[in-house]
Amino acid sequence: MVFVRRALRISRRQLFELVSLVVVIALLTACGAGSTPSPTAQPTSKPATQIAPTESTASLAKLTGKVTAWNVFGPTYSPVLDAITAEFKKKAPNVEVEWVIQDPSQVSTKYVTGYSTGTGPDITIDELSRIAYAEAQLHAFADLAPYMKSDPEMAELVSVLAPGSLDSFTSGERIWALPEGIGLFTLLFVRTDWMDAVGGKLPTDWEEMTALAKAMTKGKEGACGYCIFGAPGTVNSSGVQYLYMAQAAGIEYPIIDRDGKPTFNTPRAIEVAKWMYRWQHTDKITAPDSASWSHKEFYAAVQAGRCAIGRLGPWNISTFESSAMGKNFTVITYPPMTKDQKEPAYQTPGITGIAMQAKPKYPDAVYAFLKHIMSLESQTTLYPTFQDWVRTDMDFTTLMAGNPRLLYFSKPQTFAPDMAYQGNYGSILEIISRHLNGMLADANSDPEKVMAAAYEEAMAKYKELGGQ
Amino acid sequence: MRHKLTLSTVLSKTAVYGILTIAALLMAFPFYWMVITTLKPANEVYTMGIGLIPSRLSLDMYRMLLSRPQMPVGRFFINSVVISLGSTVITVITAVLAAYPLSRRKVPGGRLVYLLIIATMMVPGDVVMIGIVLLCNALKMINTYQGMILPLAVNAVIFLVIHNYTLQLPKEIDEAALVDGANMWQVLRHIIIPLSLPAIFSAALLSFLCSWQSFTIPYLLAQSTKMYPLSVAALLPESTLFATMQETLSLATILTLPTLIVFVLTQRWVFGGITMGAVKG
Repeated sequence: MVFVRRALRISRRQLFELVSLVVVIALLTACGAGSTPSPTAQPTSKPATQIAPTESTASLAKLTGKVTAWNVFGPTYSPVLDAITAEFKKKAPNVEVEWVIQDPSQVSTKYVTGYSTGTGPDITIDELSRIAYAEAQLHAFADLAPYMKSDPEMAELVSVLAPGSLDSFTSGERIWALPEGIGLFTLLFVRTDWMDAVGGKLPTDWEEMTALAKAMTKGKEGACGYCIFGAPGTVNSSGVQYLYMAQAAGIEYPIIDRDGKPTFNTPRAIEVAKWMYRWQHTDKITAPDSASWSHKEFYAAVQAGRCAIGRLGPWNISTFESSAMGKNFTVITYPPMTKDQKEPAYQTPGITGIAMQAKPKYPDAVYAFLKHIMSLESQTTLYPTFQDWVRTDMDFTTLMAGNPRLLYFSKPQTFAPDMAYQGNYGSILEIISRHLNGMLADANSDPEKVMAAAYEEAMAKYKELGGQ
Repeated sequence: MRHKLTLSTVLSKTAVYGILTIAALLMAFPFYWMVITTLKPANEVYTMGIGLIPSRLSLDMYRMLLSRPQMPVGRFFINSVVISLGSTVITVITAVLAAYPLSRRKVPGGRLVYLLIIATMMVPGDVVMIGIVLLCNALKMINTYQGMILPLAVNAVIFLVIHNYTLQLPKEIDEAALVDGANMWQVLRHIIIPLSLPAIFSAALLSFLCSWQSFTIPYLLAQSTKMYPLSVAALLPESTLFATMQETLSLATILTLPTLIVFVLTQRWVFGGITMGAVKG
């Protein structure tokens, strides 16, 4: 206090006045911040004004206006987005389209400030969890249900989407976005040069994966047999690592069920946690400091060529090819826990959605551009870069022939549902992440007790948020 | 007069300089590593080990960065300069105009104004973001330089640096000038500002560095990629996980180098100005 008073050159009385002032300002600010929705708040306002469905594609040439779209994928994706925009411009020459690159780690804040001040984008393509948040808190997006009834082109488009993919964007009668792509999160890369050197073969269950990881890294200083996420949090965290493992182990709902109730108190879920413990503390095939690994640490290890086995999404393939491991890797789906597993090894989907602003300045132009992005022509153009799909009428045989690493697509996949749209998903995921992170950091921990404690806390949170 | 060198003096000086040298090297190393990594040929970036000396120096990454139309680095750099200079000029002018009467004149309610300015330092910036965006939107300043400059042009720390410095100047100087017939503006212009130049200079530099590195306000207020300053644009490839380490470090180098050069050249005045204001009186 004395230091503060001297630094500010004020007396004790004046310091008291200053502190009082700050308290008053903080209270006023807190009251003012009421306009900022809290993460768990339920929608209170009515859906935004419905835009009248537009005319058919034939009249695109008459359209005028400007469409602002957000690119949260980074400059790497700009050329392909520009390519589909150029095609659109041929049909609608009087519509200006601008893609604005966004920082995905900060874009949620920008959604809130943008949509609450009327400066949000006309169109955004983003992960389900992020746009679901913007929709739940701000009713930021237009209801597309009326378009599906009145516009045959839109109805046809929706009819070819992957079955069930629209569910995550449906809220009652309201359809606030379309699925733009479903990507697989639970792919694994396996270094083929290291595997061949030890005469290994691709694993078909977790025992084989453990043995292979050990063999591949034997005698290699700094190498990591199986690189995992172990940090706390909700993105690329130990909870997400658990999610991947649990779904591959046949648990369809590893975090919460369709009612939002925590589900990780089952023997199978505890078994998954035991495997995570075993890899970290017994077999030591994961990095010693896995508990601090999020995407940055993981990515740095991959780039340095230190990982024998690790996760990748289809979109990572080309980037990983330019890492230190070069093209010496193959891609497999996450194997089941055991060979005799009755349940399918579910693949964790990453659903990307496309949404249009509830009150765009040029609704017809925006709607036309949304349809253009979702057209077969555009989706085929986007596929080689985005490496995900949602239209079932695409020519996959031709699209995949160019890259042998994409052959996993030729096998039937069983997707687990993406529960990120549930309001309490993030909170529950954060809880299990925190507990599993502690388990990875502490060799003396007991996976059963860790899961029990996580479940207890998650149930308390579930009830706190209104669950029964 | 020559000092007599004893063994203990030599040993203690050697130890002190040795520790300082090691500390300096430790602090300089990350920067050296960052710069040298950007100049390595691409195939040497991910080799095992630290790789202190590349086989040859290459500017390929910088050429690549400067040639991408989707990421106009030159434009980002100009945006940074405009925003930083603009906010610095306004910050310093407003800080001087506020500091002078509050530190040297009896102003009715002056103490309250002073406390209000200081109180803004205690309010977390994040809670006022929506307010700033709303205000800028109402003033039609979204996606403009003015919109990004003005929120950055209010800084209580800069005010405090100048206020504390001018406070310790002898009051008799003002009184002598007033007796000689000068008015307040003349006192400010011809006496206070020239005498406060070290503080003004350091405040300007602090303000510039702060604006140059600012992320949130420019990011939220920019509605097109070409309006991003370098501090925002440098993070875009990295945060999407598709950038190589060399690309990220090259952008970081472009972002850091100008401030580093300015800071190294002027740090004597910066710290002089800050400490003089802080310890006097």
